[in-house]
Amino acid sequence: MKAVFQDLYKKYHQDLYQFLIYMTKDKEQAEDLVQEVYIKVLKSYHTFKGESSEKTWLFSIARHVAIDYFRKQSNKRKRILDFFDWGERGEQLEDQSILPEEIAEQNEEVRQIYHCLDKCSLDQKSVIILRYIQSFSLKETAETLGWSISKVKTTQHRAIKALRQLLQQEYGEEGNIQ
Amino acid sequence: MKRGWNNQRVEENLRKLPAINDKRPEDQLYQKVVEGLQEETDRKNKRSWKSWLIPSLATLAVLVLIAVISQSALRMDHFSSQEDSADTYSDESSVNNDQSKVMEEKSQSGSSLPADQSESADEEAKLTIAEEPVSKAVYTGNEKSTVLDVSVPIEGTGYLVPLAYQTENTSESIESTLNRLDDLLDSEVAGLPANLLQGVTFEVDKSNGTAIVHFPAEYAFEDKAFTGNVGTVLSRLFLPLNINHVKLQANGKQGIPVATKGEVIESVPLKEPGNYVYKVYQQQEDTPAFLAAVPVAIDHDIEAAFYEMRKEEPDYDLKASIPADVAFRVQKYDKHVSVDLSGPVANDQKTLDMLEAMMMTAKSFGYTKIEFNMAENRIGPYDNLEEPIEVPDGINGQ
Repeated sequence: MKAVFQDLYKKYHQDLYQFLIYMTKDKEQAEDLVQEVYIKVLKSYHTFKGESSEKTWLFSIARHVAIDYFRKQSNKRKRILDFFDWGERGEQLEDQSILPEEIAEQNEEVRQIYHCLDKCSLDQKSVIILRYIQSFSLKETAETLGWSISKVKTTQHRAIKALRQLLQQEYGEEGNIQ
Repeated sequence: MKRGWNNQRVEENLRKLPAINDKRPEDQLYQKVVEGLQEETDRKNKRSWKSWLIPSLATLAVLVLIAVISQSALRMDHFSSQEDSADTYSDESSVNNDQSKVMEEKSQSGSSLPADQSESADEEAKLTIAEEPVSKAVYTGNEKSTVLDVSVPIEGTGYLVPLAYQTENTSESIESTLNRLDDLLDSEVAGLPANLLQGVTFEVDKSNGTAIVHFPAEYAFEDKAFTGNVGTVLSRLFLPLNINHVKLQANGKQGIPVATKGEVIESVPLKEPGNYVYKVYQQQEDTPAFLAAVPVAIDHDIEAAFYEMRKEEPDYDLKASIPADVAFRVQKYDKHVSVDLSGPVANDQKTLDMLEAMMMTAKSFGYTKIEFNMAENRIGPYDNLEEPIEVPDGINGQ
């Protein structure tokens, strides 16, 4: 088991962690989730048939782990809102995470993008991370998400448009960059 | 120099997002993974231990119960035979009466054990049903509000999961709610199939009964989920709002391309959807359950519709909403239907889902009220089931 773990770690660990930290924007959560991914992978490694690549198989597990996390968060948040009847103020519960130092060091425009990424839908966020941050090909992205290539293209296009609109809304037409 | 946000600038900056590395040592992570695997194995073992322990204890309890009952029955027989002999042989009467008193006491104390057991079983039952079931029905409660039916198609089957969004019954409020759908609904997180109206924006004018639906430029119009369902989804959304004309736009231009027809269509004809029965849709055991609308070719026979609701369709993650062991008898009146239910019903989620699925099916068949005659008088929020209930304004409230 250790040899399998070491092999996967060497090939994919930092990319997996990166995917999960951009999905969750929370260092501790990403650490817990990446651990959960390995547990699931090691438990089912013998069932991997090689129909897709090892890489896309691993990332599709990571994505499902992230979706489960969001689902639990969403239920928890709903319970809190229902309990306190906070209504609109509940929106303030979002994005309380600390900015990772790697992002804090970037220019303002990159920081704005990082901030708005959280407001995209889960599908859009997944496509953006895989395509622009992880540099996955269209085929790899489609395999990971279990979609057709045309759906990846469509979602990617919508995601960029949604991000642009969010940036315009949040920071104005010009952005804040000189 | 300042420049506006455009797609290229967004893409350039996305590529500049830095690598964020996990700085934990590999061995430390491996150790945690091994511990996690061990915990899972322990949990599994504990579960399997529980899985045989509970049935074993239940069997043991039944055996004890049978033993106690049969013992007390034997003693009762013995007691009556003692009484008989007391009548016959008066000389021995006082002794026998004494004996019979002892027997009676013993028999009473014997019978008290099953009573205790049945009390503890009642306690257990109370604990298991303590969680109050949650209603999926939506009632507006006033004229000023309305319910928007945003139906999410289940693949290309014509099956839908309707979602109900309550809003003020004005063009502005309806339009504003519809234009926030992308924020309000993340179908994947909610455990639902893809939302057909994702990325779509709306203009609504109730005064002349029209709406304009704007599709984004890259929308997959050739997708079967779109071609097979768009008419129904828009009809279910707009017809109850008295909006009868829907114009379609894509990328800011009139009309949308329909590959299957090789033409551009500028408006979609709305028509009253046919009759539906409602079943329980749940993607996985740990995702939320919804009531899904399944189209049926049944015209007036609501009893036949209720029989349809007993059928499972696992290929589409649909479970029967009326359990096979619940029997029903239906009486139809003009706009009102009365249902006698018998079988295992309780104030739990399964029964509440069944009642609300029957209410929505009755609504689809044109009934405005439904009455349930059953052993329980209160299920979830319905606290007087003897009275007819208005059918809901919407289902799967969001």
